[in-house]
Amino acid sequence: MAEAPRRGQLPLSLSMLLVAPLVLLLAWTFFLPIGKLLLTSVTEPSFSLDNYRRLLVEPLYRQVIIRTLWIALVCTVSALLLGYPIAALMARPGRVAVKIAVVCVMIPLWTSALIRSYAWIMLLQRKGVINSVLLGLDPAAKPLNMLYTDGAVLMAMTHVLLPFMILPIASALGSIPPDLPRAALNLGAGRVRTFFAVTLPLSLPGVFAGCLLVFVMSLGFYVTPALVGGPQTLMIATLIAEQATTLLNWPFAGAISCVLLVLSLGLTVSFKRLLRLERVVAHD
Amino acid sequence: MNGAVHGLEVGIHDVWRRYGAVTAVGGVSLTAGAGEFVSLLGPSGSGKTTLLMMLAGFEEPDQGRLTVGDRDITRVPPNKRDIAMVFQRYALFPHMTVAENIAFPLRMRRVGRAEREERVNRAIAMVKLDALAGRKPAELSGGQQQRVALARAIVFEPPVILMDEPLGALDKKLRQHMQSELRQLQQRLGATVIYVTHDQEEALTMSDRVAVMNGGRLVQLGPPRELYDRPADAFVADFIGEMNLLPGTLDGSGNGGCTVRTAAGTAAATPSTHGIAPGSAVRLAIRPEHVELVQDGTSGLRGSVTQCVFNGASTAVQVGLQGGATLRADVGARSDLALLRPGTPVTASWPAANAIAFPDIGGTPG
Repeated sequence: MAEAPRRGQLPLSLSMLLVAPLVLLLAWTFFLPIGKLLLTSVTEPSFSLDNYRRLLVEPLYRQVIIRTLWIALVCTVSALLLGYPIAALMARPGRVAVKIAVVCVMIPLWTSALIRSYAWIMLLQRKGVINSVLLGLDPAAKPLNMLYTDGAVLMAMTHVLLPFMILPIASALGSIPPDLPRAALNLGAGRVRTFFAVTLPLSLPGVFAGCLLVFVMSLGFYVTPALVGGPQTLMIATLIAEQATTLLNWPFAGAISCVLLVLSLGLTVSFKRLLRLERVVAHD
Repeated sequence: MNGAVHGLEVGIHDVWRRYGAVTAVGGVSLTAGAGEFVSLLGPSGSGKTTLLMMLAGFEEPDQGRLTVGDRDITRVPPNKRDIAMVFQRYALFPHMTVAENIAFPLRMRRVGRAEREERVNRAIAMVKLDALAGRKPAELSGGQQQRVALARAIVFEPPVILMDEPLGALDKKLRQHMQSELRQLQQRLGATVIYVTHDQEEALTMSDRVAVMNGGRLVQLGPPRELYDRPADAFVADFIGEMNLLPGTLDGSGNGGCTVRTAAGTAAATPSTHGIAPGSAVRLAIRPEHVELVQDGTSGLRGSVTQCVFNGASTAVQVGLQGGATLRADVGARSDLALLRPGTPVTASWPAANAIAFPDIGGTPG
């Protein structure tokens, strides 16, 4: 094949020129500070891996990492279980329910995670909406402690990240030709078997993409755990903030950041592998 | 499979389906005999696909009954009907191999592994796809995908097979080849086939009987020959094959024939019904191969040649009639008439038995 630029494709030099400002900006404001931070994690206070050793040896920090992974996992699974039916509803064209579902998914996406987290505080706090209703029903009851618990963090994070699960799944479901489930029905499969034999396998690329997005985002999520979670529910991101801004231990914050970065990158790469494998299985 | 399958009679009894104010199917009744190949033919929007979807169970009739053999299937869910369907776009499962696709209906029916494999292999052999059993649908050509869809539909030996323009996406040569193959396969299996198409040629060549639909109604049901020779109305006359339809008024009738007065003169015809009063507007239907052209004639419709188009076996002579109508006459390619120059005056006539006068109910058919 001749290497003539295709229609709508720019010559290489011009493309480079156009991308250059963004690359420079990112290099200056993003990669350089991160590089510096990661570098201090091995050079200060002395040139060693002490910061990393501390992270792995001290039970508190180990716990934080494990809890973060655990919360990200539960968050991903619950977002998947809650999001798939909504995505399935959205993929059916034309109904009023569809439009309502789309709005319900998109509006939270346009409001910031900060506002949504405050909304959860309003709901869950000691004199919040839920407790007032419960006390109204039974004045003798004690108000429930819901805020600043793992449960609160999980609920709020699942809610905030739900759109990132729904959208890829809805798009995968929407690209399945309606004739395929019909053919399955016609050939003798009931609705349940049609779903598991045809619809679900064909929507897997969307499921994987959604899971990857939600898992990686919840690994590094800061606002919601910081507001809704208490000191008992430290997560990696809140730990980094505490080390950097409260304790001013930048080298240690750098070490934690490095662990988070490696976790996220590693997961992304292995998920991508899985996804590519799945594409081959699903669509070719 | 060989001759083991026996088709069942398919009955459609006064079936209606409306979408809001639109009547997609309006009171259709027809019966396809066991093992019969019946085509539903009509332009898009005629209700033929809606009718097929109701037979498959993807749409419910508002009114009326559907039967297969002695069984009423009107409210039976699609997966319990035992009716196979071949989709226009094949609808093969992209994540399964050819063999897995074909095994799907057997797996759903819990057919044991050994028997399943045997039947899949037989179905694959029947559609001549032996070498491709392990491929994914995306690795196959359109014609091969169509064969897989066919194998998947026949493998569970359904008494009835529905087909929704299954050859529509194939090129002409392959389509003609698949038409005869499909017909042979159907005859071998003995299954009843309901075949939806908008291609009248396809319907005529393949079917035992053709049901012509228009505007949600069944206009005519009959063997291809009957539809061609004795169309029930001007729509069928125009839709099936080539047909000249000339506007005119009925002049008078007697012993089976009548005369129709047109702007270019009077012509003989047979009235489509007895009820047409003299003086009322009619459409005169005459097939191009029945038009007899004469140079310097004295009787018949007067006009002049506008062009001659060579079609191989015959030549289509376009005649501009006096008064503006156009008439097509098919003459033998070796005939002198095929060499007429544009502008040559001619007269056109035909025996009354070959032309039909339909009452003109307004609007141009087709």
